[in-house]
Amino acid sequence: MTAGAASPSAQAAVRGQADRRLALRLAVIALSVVLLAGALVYALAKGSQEISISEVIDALRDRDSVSKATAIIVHEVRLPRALVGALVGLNLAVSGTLLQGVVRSPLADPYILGVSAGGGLVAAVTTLRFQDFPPDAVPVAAFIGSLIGALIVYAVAWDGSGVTTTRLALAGVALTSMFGAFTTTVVVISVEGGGQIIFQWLVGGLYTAGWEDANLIAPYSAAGLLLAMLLAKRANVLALGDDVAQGVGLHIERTRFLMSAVAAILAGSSVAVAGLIGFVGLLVPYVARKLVGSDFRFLIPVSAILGAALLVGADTASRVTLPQALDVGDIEFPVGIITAVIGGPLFLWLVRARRAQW
Amino acid sequence: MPVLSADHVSLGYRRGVSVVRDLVLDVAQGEIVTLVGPNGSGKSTILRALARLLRPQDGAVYLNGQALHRMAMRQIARQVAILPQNPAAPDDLTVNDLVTRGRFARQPWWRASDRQDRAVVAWALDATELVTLRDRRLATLSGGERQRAWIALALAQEPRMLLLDEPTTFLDISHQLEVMTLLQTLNAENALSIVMVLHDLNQAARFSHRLIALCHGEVYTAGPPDEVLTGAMLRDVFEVEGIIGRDPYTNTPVFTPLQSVRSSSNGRNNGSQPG
Repeated sequence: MTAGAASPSAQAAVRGQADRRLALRLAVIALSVVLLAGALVYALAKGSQEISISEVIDALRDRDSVSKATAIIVHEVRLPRALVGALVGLNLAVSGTLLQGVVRSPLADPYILGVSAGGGLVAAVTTLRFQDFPPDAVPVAAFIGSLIGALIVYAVAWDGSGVTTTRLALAGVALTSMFGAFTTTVVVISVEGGGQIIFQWLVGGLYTAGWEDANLIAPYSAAGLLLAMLLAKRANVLALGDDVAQGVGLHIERTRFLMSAVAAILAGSSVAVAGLIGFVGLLVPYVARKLVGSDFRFLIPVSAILGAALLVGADTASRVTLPQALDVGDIEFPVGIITAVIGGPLFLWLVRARRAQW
Repeated sequence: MPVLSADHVSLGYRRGVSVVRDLVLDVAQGEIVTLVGPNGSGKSTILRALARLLRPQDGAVYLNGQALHRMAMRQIARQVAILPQNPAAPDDLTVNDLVTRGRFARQPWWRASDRQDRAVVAWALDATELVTLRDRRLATLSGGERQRAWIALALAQEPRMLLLDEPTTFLDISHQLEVMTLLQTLNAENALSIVMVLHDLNQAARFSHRLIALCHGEVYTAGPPDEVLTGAMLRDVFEVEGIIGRDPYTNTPVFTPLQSVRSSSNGRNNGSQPG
């Protein structure tokens, strides 16, 4: 056994270690913010009309200092789209972080668990079938759809004492295909020549993102992020396993439900403006966990910022870089294919590496 | 008045199927009680019920006279701490992170650790001799150190009662002894009541005030080690023949198993039907 009372110098060394970890975590947050700022500026500069970085910054500082055309491109076209992208990325990443906490596995994501698909179906039905449905209420409807999706998958995967990750993933994939088929049906019977629109719903894209979308999603992102942070301490306790968590006084089922509900608010509102974008909620928390560890008080904000940066970057790639690289002129790709191309292999690798449980 | 008592409790995991039947049990303040019995005798199930991880099918568990299933989780956690068998935590958690989470039930939901919390965590780390290891990651600790860290988590709850499910099972002898003497010290210095499940009967006899021998979900006998550790009990409950001696150092009974007299292994062939 080690000596009970440590010498002051040994204690100081030990405290230094803790301080260093905190400094590292704060540095990761600062760098993530820089990355997000870079992704935003790059998104504003890139497009069929190239604008220099310095001109973008001038336009953001003072609209009147640049040409009218440039001001319109930056402020009315690219800025709202970049902001919607950032908020959608934030929502999906934080949603995935919470869901991974709920099931205690890195194999969770709103897309995989059928949460996005449930929201997508309800959003498609309310937007396309009910002409009088107020657009402001679509995120609320999508939230309910997302929550129902989550509950169905959770109920299927529940084996009486806990959820098994395999069943969770299988149930989620099945529900996603099923809801996707319903969504396609709704689009086909509602929109003439709806091919492009089916894409919008099922692969996820930001083609039409404007200021009204930014205003629509922003309150849900803010509320969702705040609620997620308020649940961080409970999520940390839940990570110790059901028995220990209950032993230290946590109401585990209530906590799981609250975390799932906040995940559904975030995923539902993002589906309502951008359709089904997959794997952001898988990829980002995975990277964030590598960077700052498992403490949700850091994991949530870092996932939020990195999720925003990833989706802004991926959208710029799908809108400009990829079409240029493939030399297909001004065709735009849905951003969902970029996230799937990066996130899909990670998912496969996680399954293969048996990292089903922490 | 007993701190914790079970009043005609039946326990099970499926409706209509009881693993434990009609259990009556009292634990006094400052007592070390150990549940012994063969696999499947209901030891862990009882421990879970005493911490309200499992709700009784029938009867009730009382904590200081209050029915456990009518109390809030947080309220229970301030008095009873449980260390389950083989607990798991995220790899990157440090000892200090882990122990701090034991303060959960004593913090308002919106607040992080304050001075009082930090003082209790420091005390728990000191009591388990983990001060110098507080910023080490759990994954880098030895089995015994890790088990002490989990005990420190329980201590951070400032409980009056500590429940442990086979706290020594996965440890080598030196680490087993380390954990058992730690529990003995905590019991002596803080009047902490301890209820645990142990497989090693000699360890149970040496470190407990009272043993409860369980057989097929019912109490076979209960009392001081000298009264419980008898040839008849070992034959009936554990289905082994052996000799019982005395440890010259601790003056507690010591059991040496000689042969198994298991009836179930040949019961089917011999047709051991009653009468």
